[in-house]
Amino acid sequence: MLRAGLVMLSILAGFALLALFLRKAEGMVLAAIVAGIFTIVALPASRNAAWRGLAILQAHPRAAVAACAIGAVLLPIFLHNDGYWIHVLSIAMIFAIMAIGLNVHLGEIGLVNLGYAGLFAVGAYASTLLSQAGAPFWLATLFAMTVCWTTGGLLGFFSVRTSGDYFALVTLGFGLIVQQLIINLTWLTQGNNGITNIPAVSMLGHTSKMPIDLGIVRLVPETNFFYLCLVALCGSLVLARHYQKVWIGRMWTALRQDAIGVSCFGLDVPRFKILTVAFGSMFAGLAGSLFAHEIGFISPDDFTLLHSVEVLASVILGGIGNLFGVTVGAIILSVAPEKLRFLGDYRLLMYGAMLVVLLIYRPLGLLPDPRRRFESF
Amino acid sequence: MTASATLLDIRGAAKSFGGVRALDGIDLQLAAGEVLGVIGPNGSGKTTLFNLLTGVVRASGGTVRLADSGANLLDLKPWEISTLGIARTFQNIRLALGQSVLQNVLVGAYRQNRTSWWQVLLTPQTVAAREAQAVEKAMEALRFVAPALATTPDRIVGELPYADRRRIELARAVVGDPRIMLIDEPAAGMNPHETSEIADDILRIAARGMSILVIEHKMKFIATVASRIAVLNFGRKIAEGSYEQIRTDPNVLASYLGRKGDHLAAAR
Amino acid sequence: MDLILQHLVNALALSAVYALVAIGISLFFGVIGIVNLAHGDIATLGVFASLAVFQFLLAGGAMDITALSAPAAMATLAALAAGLVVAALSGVVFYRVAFFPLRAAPPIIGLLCSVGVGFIIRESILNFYPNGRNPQPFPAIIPPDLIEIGGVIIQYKHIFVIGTAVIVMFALAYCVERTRFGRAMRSILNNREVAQSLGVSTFKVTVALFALGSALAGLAGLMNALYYNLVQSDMGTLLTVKGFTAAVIGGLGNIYGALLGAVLVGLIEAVTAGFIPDGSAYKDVAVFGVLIAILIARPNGLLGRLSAERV
Repeated sequence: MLRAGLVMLSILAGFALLALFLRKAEGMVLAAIVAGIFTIVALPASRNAAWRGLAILQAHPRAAVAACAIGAVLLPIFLHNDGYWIHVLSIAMIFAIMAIGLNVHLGEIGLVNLGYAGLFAVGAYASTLLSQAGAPFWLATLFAMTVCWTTGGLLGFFSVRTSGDYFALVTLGFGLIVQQLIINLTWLTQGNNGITNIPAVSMLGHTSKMPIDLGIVRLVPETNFFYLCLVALCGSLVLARHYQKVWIGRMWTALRQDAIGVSCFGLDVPRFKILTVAFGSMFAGLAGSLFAHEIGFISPDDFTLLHSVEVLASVILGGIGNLFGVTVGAIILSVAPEKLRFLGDYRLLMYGAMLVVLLIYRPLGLLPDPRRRFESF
Repeated sequence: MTASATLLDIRGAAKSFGGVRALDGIDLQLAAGEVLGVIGPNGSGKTTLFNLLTGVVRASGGTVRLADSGANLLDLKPWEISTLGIARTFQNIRLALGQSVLQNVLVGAYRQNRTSWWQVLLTPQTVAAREAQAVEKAMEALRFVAPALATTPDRIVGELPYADRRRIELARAVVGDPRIMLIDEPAAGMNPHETSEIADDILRIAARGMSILVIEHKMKFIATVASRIAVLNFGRKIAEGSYEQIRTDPNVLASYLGRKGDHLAAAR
Repeated sequence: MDLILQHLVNALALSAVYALVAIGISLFFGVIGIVNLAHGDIATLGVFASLAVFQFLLAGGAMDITALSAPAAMATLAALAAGLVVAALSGVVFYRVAFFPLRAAPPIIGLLCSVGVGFIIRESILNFYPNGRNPQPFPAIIPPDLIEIGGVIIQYKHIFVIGTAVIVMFALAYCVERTRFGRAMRSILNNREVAQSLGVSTFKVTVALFALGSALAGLAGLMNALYYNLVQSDMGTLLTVKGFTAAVIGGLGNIYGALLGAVLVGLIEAVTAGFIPDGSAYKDVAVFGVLIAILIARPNGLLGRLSAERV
């Protein structure tokens, strides 16, 4: 009981520190923190200590999850109601939802998808178009998820026919085709100009443009989307975890290692693969819908190959297959460029260098899935 | 020799890879409840036969029929064949090494206990009940095939010795209650003690009423488990009969056992 | 008819550039199993090295680079050679620093790492090359003259690009089929373990291959630069994507497949741009559409080996 309390306290303290870090850490402080983290990762003794800490967390999963939930809910207050950072974290959570979806492709059945941003775009545009036609947000989101599920099913069809790096290229092509179509089908998508004035989300008379008035504090309007994204992220985590825990997750693992073996035990492999890719793509619909309504403006520039790679990098850096790791990876990678702004023009250069260094020293990600040590993937 | 009805009827099964005829028209009948051994030198087409029967490899010709089903098995996909009640093990063990014993055996229970993707989302109770049933069946199969492993179902397969992995493969095949089991070299790489244990396992499975087709190199092993033996060489069946019959068959002695006659002597 | 031939000439010039990139991507995949998405960026690096030499030599404004004089020829040769050498060296360095440590990791890690390398190259040029943020003119050393054969206009640069590519291809084919290095390389492509056990130094051959493949990429970049007379830091992305596509269409790991793939990609682009109204906007869509169709019909590319899984 005491330990559980300590776990909760330390997690809450972690959230407060995170907020402090986001708001205050600049320049050299940040560099020092990054160097510190690298040292911790590099030194075996400190790494073991970190693992022990994580083990304690895992021993009290309920306390840890509860504390994470409370911490996340309180985060806007920890952030001193700073609209900018609340917005950045909302986007980070949207990326985390995408990473969870991509993890279904890459982590669960080992398909390299270089066109996830294409699915994200399909979701964003589908939701936007329906929303502009007057549909409520939830309906537009559901529609976007359905469209992405279907598109993903089509992609899944290719995964049945092609293998490995060839599927990677098909998805790369898919991403580029989607972008070209968005640019060229101007009657539908406004082309390069993008779609502006995407309606705000409203619920029971409260719209996402209004501040949240709690009496004691008045939370900035950005908080609306923060909580919406938080709910969506938690929902995505629960959904992905739920599917992992039943026969579907078991078959994912078995299929990833040996497609022929599972087919001899009655699994219709092509059908299952198509459904899996469709399932993973559905998250892109949710993320796309949230993104479009959060920013209020979408254009082809939001859905480039770079974005696909960023999602892929989140999954790999976080630790393929580990939902928690994948979420953390996505949040780090979308917050990092914001914190690297002090580097000015050298920001993306450092991003690339960090990616290379991290991959060379921790090729299996920051929080690898321990059950994969017998796998090549 | 059993006099019971033919369960699996293989006629003219053929497969060529490029110009190589791996299987050149095999006829073989498996009676209900019998254990049929298939022997032959390396490259004689034994594993190819299993791959044809389970749909893993597309046949070039021939028919395979089950007693009560009209379909030619050679036209079906592996998962369709599986639903007809045929399960197999693999020569090079194919298990998910990073998963637990139970998780691996559960793969074999997929067929009876699966639910749809929608059910997983909308009716978690039904799904949980089915999962519990599957676990129950898997544990039962484990206790039946490998009682020692059943006490530690959560161990990771990658940490277990070779013989245990073979048993897990057997359990995974048994759990779906197949009518026919195809067992590919169950004793490969095992010491004599483990070999005799595996032989006992197979006889116990047969006693459950399953018909078994077993490939093996070790003559003593095959003599113990099989009631009838077919000998393959160069993709053809060159002899068939009881152990005593094939042991003295001139074809077998000439083409296959010429050099390995001492194996037979050892087996006596 | 003339129009068709005209498009064919344009297509071939494009194909020549793509082929040189595709060969490198295909070979690297064959020997290390990693798709190198920084390949085009290595070409960019070579181009900018070349540009630097040109700018240095032409700084005084005294030399006319297009004149047929000995100093001009020397300067041109020096600049082009610098481009090739820098590309080859950077290829080797990136192999040693980024890919070699990852040889035991899953291929996707190498792919992602190459994306990081691409970032580093592009952003370095952007930040450290003088005026690197803007497109820069590349000296037009090929005279802008043209010849007309039966209504088809062929510019000198067409002849140069296609000619160079053809010569290089023949040299490469000779090298692969006839030399010791070629044999060693083919043995590694066939089966790395067997080659190693037969005494082939896979590390040395791989390094040599990276030098060769990257130099070819550098050459492709230079030809691209000479063709358009304009270079910019992100020109490599397009080369990578097109080269990768060509390599996959032909079948990864197969040099001749890469060549065939490049010709196809060039043709599809030229045909879409030339014959379909408003087609140039959709030429990438067409290329990838054909790619997907080919992969569905032949999952391992046109000339790819069929890999049968052992059961």
